Amino acid sequence: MTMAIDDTAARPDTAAPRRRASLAALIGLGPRDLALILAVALVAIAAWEFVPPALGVSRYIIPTFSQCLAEFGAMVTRDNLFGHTLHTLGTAVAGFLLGSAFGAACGYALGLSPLAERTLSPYILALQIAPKVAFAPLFIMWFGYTFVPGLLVTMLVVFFPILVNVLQSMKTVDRDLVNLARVYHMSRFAIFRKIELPSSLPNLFAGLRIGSTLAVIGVTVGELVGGNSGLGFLITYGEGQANTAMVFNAIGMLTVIGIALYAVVARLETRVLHWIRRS
Amino acid sequence: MTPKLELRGVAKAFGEKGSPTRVTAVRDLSFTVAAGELVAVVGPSGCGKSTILNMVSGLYGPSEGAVLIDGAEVKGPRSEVGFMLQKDLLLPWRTVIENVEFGLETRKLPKAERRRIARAELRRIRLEEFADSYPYQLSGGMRQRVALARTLAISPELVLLDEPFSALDAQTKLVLQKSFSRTLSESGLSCLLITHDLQEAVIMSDRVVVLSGRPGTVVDTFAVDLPHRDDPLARSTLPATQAYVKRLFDTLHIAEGAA
Ligand SMILES: Nc1ncnc2c1ncn2[C@@H]1O[C@H](COP(=O)(O)OP(=O)(O)OP(=O)(O)O)[C@@H](O)[C@H]1O
Ligand SMILES: [Mg+2]
Repeated sequence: MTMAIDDTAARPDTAAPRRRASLAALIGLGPRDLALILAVALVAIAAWEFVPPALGVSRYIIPTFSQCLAEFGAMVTRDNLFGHTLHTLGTAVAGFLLGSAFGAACGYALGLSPLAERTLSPYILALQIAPKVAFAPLFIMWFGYTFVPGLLVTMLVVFFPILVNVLQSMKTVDRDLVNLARVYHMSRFAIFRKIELPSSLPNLFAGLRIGSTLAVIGVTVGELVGGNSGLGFLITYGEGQANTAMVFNAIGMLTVIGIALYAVVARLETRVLHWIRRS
Repeated sequence: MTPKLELRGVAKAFGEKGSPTRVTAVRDLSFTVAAGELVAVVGPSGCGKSTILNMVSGLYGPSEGAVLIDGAEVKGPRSEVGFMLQKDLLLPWRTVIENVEFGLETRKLPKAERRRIARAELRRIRLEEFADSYPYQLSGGMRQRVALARTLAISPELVLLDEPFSALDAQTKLVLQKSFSRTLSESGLSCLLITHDLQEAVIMSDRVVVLSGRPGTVVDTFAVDLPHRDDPLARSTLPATQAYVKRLFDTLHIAEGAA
């Protein structure tokens, strides 16, 4: 057997994939896919506009697309729609950040202390199963008709998926990596900072992505149950006025907030986790 | 002269004393590695080879007997011992050069000095131009070479290798055996090489220690009296090599039958 043994190394592709991430590129779409998606949207809007009136469905049941648009304009001027949207966005973001921070902190703390984890895991499991949004009326009884209940419900729903994901990652850290660090005399804290924390990032981000979608649910429930601002409030208000278009629009804005939050998290994830091979 | 490494009547059992699930991995194990010597350890799967390596690296102590480095008993991880597994254990979030620096970070060295050492190690394994790449951009063989660079960066006196080539394809394996052998003999390190591959044991080592099935104990040990320790390919073409491999094969066969 003859062999060109000397290890001639190929050049690294130096242009490290600093990919430009438009939202479309982020979810891996080409121009063809985009055209198809747009076509579906056009068909759906046309059906929405013309089918309900043709079937004689009243605008109090299903307002048409154009009616919703008109109501949207009215809401902007009459009802301070953007103010309410900002209020909801602010609460969602604050609740998401605080809930994530507490969730991650508890996840790491429990991961570092097996005793605490064993002691507390039944309670965590119970709380995780409890429907968090059902706490909303309770928070209103405690904190009144302010932004606080919405914030607390948001924090609560975001907290658990992040805690569970982080804890899971701490428990599945590669033991051999930890042993390697120990052979190099690293302190417990250095092992956490240099091995466990970075190893947990993919899981943390998985939790953050789930949390970002839950945050919108949390804030909506909080505002639905009580308070006089936010998109959740507009939904109850519209319901009281039999203004179906207003409810539609508020739901639409909530969805936009949800997508925006998710996109920010996803964008951050591709940045932070650039060292993971992507196919 | 005191040997670099000595195992003196070592036994290791896992699990509670008296428990039915207690497993004795190795027992009554004694052998040495002289300074500058490369000793290969072969034995059937599960006979406690990795256990030996973990005890020598100070991750846990033996149940009986003692492990001595330079005549002093091993009580915990020691800074003159380098350690490398079948898995490359590169940190995927660090660049190649940052990975090579990993073991130096517990030394009191200025950052620039760490960089300099790491760069020199990368140059030695000829991967300098990959310094700023991430592990996922490297092939398996390149990653294993980076792992060797990380191991050698701390200037160890004793290097422990646990099947470092067994995850590689046949051709990469030959390339790496050659480059490892050259690097290890250039630096005059003492080395314990654990392997499944009998041919590898003969072509890379000065001496071979053969273990029985679990609980592992030494059933044979012999010097490999062949030239070219720094060039396993040259060695593999020598007719005498096959005789050593045959001897190993026979011994292991008998050892397994007896276990
Ligand atoms: N931490 C541990 N706890 C309990 N049992 C262990 C532990 N480590 C090893 N063992 C047991 O000790 C025995 C020897 O394991 P070891 O990993 O040393 O074998 P090995 O010779 O390296 O095997 P292989 O060739 O497959 O790598 C096995 O039966 C294993 O189950
Ligand atoms: Mg092993």
